[in-house]
Amino acid sequence: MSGFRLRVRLDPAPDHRAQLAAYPDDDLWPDFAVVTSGMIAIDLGPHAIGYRHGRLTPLPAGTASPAAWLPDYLGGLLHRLASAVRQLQPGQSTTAHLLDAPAALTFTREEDDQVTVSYVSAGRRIYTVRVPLAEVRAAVAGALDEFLTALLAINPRLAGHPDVVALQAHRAALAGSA
Amino acid sequence: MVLPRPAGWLRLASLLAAALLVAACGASASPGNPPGFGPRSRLITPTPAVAATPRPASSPVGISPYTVVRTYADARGRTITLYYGRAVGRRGDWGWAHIIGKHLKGEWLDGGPITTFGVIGVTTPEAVQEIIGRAVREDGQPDDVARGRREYRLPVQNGRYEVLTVVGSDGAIITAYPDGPREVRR
Repeated sequence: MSGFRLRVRLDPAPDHRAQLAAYPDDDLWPDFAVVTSGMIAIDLGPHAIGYRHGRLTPLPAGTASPAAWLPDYLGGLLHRLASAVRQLQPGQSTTAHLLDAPAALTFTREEDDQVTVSYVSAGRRIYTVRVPLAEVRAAVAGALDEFLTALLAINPRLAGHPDVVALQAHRAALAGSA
Repeated sequence: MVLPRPAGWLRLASLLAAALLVAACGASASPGNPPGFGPRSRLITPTPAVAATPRPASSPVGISPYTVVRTYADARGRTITLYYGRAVGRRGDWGWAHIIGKHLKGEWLDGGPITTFGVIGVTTPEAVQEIIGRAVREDGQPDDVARGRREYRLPVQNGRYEVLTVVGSDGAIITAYPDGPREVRR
């Protein structure tokens, strides 16, 4: 079983989907991150991050439970995840904070290109897993791929949006170095 | 409820309506906008405009998401706008209605973790607006979170918590809520 796995689901509100479909004739407002809202599921080792009624709930990795899907401004979160992983230098840590939740993924890269990935909730480290850097990069590249595929299926012209251009560059860089 | 996206003229009309609401509520006249306030905010006063505040976030009565609730200026003079936004109880909610619904009243509807302003003793809409304003004004070095989006943090309760305010690339407040400290506890 993979030690670090991300699944994403683009799920914009109907009016935001209409904005996406009309781009570039209509602009994306109030922000690309909001208009591309969705969900993310995070597996760390044997655990999936899950919540029931706002409280952390132990779930097995790969679960199909709806409790494992965390809502967020997905397009914005993927910017953060990609930047955090691309900026990761040996001996350093980076963080990707969810936009609408008191939670984050922290990445600490060791000298041997192993990465400690932790899920932090309200300032406390909840789950931690140690995986190769290549696996972390591949997980984020895969999430970007899933997101961008779903987004461009709504409207291929979104490929010209500056945020999409930036996310595509992240995907290419992460996939190329994975 | 799905709110259709208004055309540009309708957005302008919303701003004018907000200005009228503020005037009708007796808000004091502003001596002028702080540096950095753009043409949109010149239509209203940058002082508190709380006309939209008392309405419950989940009210069936629609308010345009483009209604300006309040404007702030950050430490560098950039305009930060709190729009009414929306809270229909699903992904894509944002702005004042979302902050009140999810992060003050704790209307937890679509999963994931949640914190509410109550954990830091902030219990009224007016107090939420004030602490968001403090975060925006006092964090002189907000994190740049991709393409002009910013995240302002204000430590509170001796650093046990931080108020986090996320601002979109054109200065609209997306969300705000209490978070744990940036420094991870073990």
